[in-house]
Amino acid sequence: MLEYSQDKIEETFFCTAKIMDSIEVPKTALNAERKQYLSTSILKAVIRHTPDDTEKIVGITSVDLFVPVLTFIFGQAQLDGKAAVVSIHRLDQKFYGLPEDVDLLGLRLGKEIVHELGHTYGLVHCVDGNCVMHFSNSIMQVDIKEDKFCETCTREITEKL
Amino acid sequence: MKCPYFEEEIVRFCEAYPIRKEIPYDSNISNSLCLDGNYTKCSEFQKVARRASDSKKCPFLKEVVMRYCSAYPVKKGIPFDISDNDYLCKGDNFVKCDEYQKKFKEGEGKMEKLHGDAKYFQPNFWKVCRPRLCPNCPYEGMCVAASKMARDVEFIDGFMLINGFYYYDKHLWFDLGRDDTLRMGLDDFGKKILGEITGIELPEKSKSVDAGEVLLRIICGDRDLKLRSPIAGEVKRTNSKLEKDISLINEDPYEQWMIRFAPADLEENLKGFYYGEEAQKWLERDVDRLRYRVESEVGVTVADGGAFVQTVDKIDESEWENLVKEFLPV
Repeated sequence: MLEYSQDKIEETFFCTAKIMDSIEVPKTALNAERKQYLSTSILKAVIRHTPDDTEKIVGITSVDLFVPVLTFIFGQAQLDGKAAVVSIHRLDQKFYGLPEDVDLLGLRLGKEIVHELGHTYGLVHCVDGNCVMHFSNSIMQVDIKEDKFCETCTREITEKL
Repeated sequence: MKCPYFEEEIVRFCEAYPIRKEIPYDSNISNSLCLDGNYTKCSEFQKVARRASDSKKCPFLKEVVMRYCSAYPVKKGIPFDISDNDYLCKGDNFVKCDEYQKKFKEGEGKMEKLHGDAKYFQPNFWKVCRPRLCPNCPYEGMCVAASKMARDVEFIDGFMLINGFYYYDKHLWFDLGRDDTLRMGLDDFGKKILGEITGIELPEKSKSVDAGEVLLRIICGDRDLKLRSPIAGEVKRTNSKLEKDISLINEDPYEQWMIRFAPADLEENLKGFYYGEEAQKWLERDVDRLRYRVESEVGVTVADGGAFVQTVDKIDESEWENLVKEFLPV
């Protein structure tokens, strides 16, 4: 799964991607009542572990993420910043009571990683429902959108790469 | 123009039950298994569910907008796609509908008693008549009464907006009366930010307020806040129904106004409000803003996924305060 994500990042952003050692999810991130983890706390931990020579970093976690105003999130990123975090928790078919599908999980994870890294390059949510930068409030919308940028977002990201 | 008796209402239904049985949104189902976290004990849930969700609300309890004819003696649903010519509800042909004709004749009878002329009481006439001719009108507001049920609703990403109302950008709605007064209430977005409202302290009648001055106090369980007035003027009336039964505002924030103002400068106030398409675009922007919440510790962040939490109790104190500061006139 990590290797697949590495390839996806390299082919989308024309860069060299490196898989780093894993880090612990901060215990303070757990909200016992919601049984979810505060995404911002995990994002902060990712930022703390970012080497100086890194242009962008994305943390991949299996825990269920939330921000206070939203029921859950697939991922969160610093807008025009360095770091992002993505959760595979709700990208996994098993979460929906369905048989495991590793290929589908890889495809969904790729979309969310590209989406969040897009934010770190300053891209905002796109109105084009097929664009990877389109906002998804459910897994169905993740599946509907493609794993690449629309023409407008491609132009914008190309200028920044 | 659409028929004034063509209505929309949010209804709930159980998606797991073999037959779709609709429950009006305002029905008290708070003691049912659907909402109290015990839905896993429900036989219908057990038949179809593979796992429980992390919400107290049953995942099979769905909400939809139902369309119905309020002129028909029994509440009769209208299919969502009414492009079919069999339905007269949308477009000017509704006047040919038997049910509309019956209602119109009933209204005509009442108007005759007032020596009114029925042709002035076409549905939605009062909207056309916004230049406010009422002081010289012999029909004593019958046109408004006749159109009371005509409410033009928009849903923006799950948040309700009434077309025809003016909106202050800190989520208050204003409805312009025929006597140039403004009724003020909290919009659906503002209401959802606050969560369940459990108390309200409204100002004294005839009180003069300046823009920015504290106007009223809202209590939401252990939390409370003071809302500031966006306009200067005199408090003509307050909604005493709310002080007697605050739950009304939780059911429908647009039906329950809080204060009726005599504004000091109506024209200037209206210029500063959003209306029509502008209001819809403004609400779209604010829903987006909710997703692009500023997290000061790690800069501006953007989240992908999820819907706005329905149970605001899940938001901790400091986040609730931040939301209130950002989106409401405190």
